[in-house]
Amino acid sequence: MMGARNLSLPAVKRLLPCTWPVSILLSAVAMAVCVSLAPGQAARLIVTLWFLSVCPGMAFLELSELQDGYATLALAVALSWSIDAMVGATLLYLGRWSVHVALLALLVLTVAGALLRLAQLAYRSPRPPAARRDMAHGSGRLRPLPRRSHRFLPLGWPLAGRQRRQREGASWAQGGRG
Amino acid sequence: MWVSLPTVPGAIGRALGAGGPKRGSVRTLDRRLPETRQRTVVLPATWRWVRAIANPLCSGLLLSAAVATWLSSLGAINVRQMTDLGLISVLPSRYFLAFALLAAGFCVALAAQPARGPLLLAHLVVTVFMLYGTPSLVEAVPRFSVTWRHIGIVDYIIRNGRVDTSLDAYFSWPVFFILGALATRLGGLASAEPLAMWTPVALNLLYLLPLLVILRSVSKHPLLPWLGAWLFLLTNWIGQDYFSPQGINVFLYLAIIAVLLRWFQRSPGPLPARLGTLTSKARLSVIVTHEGEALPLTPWVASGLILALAGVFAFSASSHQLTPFAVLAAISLLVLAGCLRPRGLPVLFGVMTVAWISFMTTKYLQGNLSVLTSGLLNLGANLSQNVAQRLAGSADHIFVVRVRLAMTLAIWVLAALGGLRRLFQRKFDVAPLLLALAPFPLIALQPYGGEMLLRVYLFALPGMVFFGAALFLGAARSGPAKPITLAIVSLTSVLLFDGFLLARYGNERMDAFSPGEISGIERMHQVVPTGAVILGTPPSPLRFEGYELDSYDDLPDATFASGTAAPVAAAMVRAERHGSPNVYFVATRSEAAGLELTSGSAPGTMQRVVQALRESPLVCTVFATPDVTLFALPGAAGCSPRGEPVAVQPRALEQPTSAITDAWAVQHVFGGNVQAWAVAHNAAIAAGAPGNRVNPRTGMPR
Repeated sequence: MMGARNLSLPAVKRLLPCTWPVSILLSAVAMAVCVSLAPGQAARLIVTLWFLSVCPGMAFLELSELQDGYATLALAVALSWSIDAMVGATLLYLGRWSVHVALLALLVLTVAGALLRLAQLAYRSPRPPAARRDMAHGSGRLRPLPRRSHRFLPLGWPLAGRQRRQREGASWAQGGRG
Repeated sequence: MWVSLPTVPGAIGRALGAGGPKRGSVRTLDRRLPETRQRTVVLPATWRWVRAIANPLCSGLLLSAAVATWLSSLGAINVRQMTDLGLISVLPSRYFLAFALLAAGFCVALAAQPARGPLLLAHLVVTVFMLYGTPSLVEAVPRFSVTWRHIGIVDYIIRNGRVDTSLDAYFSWPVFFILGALATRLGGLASAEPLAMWTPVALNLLYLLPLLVILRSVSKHPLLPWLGAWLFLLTNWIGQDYFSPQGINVFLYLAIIAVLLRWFQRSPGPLPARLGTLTSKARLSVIVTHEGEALPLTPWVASGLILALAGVFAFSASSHQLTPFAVLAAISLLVLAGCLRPRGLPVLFGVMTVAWISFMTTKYLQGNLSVLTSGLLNLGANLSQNVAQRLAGSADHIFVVRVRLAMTLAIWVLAALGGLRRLFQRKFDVAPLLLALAPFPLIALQPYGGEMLLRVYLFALPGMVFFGAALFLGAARSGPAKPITLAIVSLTSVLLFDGFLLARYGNERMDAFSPGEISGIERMHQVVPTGAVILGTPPSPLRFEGYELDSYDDLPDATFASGTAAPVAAAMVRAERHGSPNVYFVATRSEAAGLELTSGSAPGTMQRVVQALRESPLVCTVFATPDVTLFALPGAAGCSPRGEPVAVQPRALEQPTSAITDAWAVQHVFGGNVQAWAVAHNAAIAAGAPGNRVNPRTGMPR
């Protein structure tokens, strides 16, 4: 009960953008497990078709935050098939045809795209509470965020997000996407 | 405060939401009580609740009843009893009742206010299963001989890990088959057959996504996309959605157009500015040329989308000969008309197409350039090959071909009338019009094996169904469809449904194969040696194994006209004299059906030829099953010099070069017996072969 109480609506809203990248990461794991451990099973076929048809394309399209769900899904499928086929064709024309290598390349691409998306979400700065207070009182002026030297360093993103949240003392739910 | 309801049907109509709020209680009250004309009537809470829930409830119940009736009808379908009219000849009346319920449910859902997307989408999904999934449920193996050929090409890539452009034109545009090989092997399948079985359903479900986006991007009417998609499903009888490059490329075509219209669309401007001063005198300035609206994009996201589209187009250009030109025609016209922003896109796509053709298909072009250019701008000959030459065969088959022509003309006439209605309502929809017209110049390029008109029809269908839906709905931007409109839509849907069944599944007697045919052809593949020449007549599910190992030749229909053995035996001897010692003739059930269906041969012609061959001393019968008979010249493998069948060792296909060889070996060499494979595998490793030992019980690595 406590857990359910803590999962407030803003928290759910905050987690929603993470749905696709997390699903993609889980799909990648499932794909690797299925190919390694479950030869010839129906679950493997379903996971394979799902992974090949949606995950590589959606991993990168999610970075764009497109607004039309149907169009995004259609493009994700088309792009996924294109990426799969390009990886396979590259190996084939190089004379290195191997399904394992193709799968490895697709997993790397997909996981990289999903992690980028998670990093993008983590890096999203919430609007500073002080700034929102200013807006509420009618001054109409937003204070700029303090400049950080590690802003464009990918490895610094999680650290930067955590430090910022501690410093600003506000949850992401309060700040939204900024 | 009460509202009188004059009739029961009127009450039902209003409860379902048909006719909109103005047709409901307020209007009735106004007619009867003139003194209260200006009063706003508030419906009782109970009535509003009933009205809100009645529509989805009724629609959902009709949908459920349709699904139940459809599923119950499947058991009564016996595909072996099909006539030359195809699948429709064995469909029970319950199947038609199921569609009537489905159409009624869809029309009730159209009457909802506001439009209920999930409910309408559920109807479309069920329609896909009912129209496109029925063969997959009642037939044991995939349809179309070409499907089996494509399965063979995927098998070739899996085994050899390369493409051979000298074998076939498919290998000059091989990327679809590479994708198929990846999916087959990663999915743990022995062949692509399970993928091919459900491809039509999967592809038509996928077509819905970009199609709805396209229709929503060019119109603000809330119901038009749904009705357009419904019409698309009822008129997509072309049957290009099987396991094939073109099936997947139609989806790519729709996806590219959808993305461009959703995010890169712009207004082409008012008509007078584009057509000159003459049109301004005709008061055309009031005509709206652009109803769609592009979603906002940042420059970075726009660049990313263009990059993604380039990737998708690269897949298209490297997997199919025709679709890139259809995409180019559509987006070039849209750019020229000012409907799209990225003006350099046709140039980029054109360069990609030319690059692939110039560098990757040279071997194919060297051998076929004259064939490719022979039909250039020869419109009359191309149309003749696409239409006139198809009007042949049995009487029922000619009827089916005429239904196909009627279906084609029907949707085009509906679209023309819809366009006129929009024009009278001062809407000139430039983008859908160009989408509908862009593919037509392709007819002048070449006949495409007599299929160009079919492909043009398919590529033009999104634009056509837009205008077809507009004919029923008009230009209103809100409000539910009127009851009379819904009645007309229901009636049209039922007519189109019947036409669809005849047009799409009219050749089903020869397009559908029995499991006995597949196992017979498998047996043939095991018997014939490498380099054999196999004669037959289309269609047969040939070449799904050992694609490169044998050569195939079609005998002309005239060979069988006499119903005797001599012409076939003579053709086999001629083939033997061309250098191959192993010449075979395969006769299948579908070949017999094809002969009667398309060439108009008398019923039982092939059976008479087979019987004559079995009695003839010129050839020997290697094996005979109810569905497949294989004949050979004496001395060929499987046949002694005296003309008696002899046992032969099954030929071994090359091992796949992929790292995943174990699953292949289990399926192909050990017939699925993992334990037997594990014992042999461990014995080989013990003898010095590279690899890791496996658990003999589970087959998993130790």
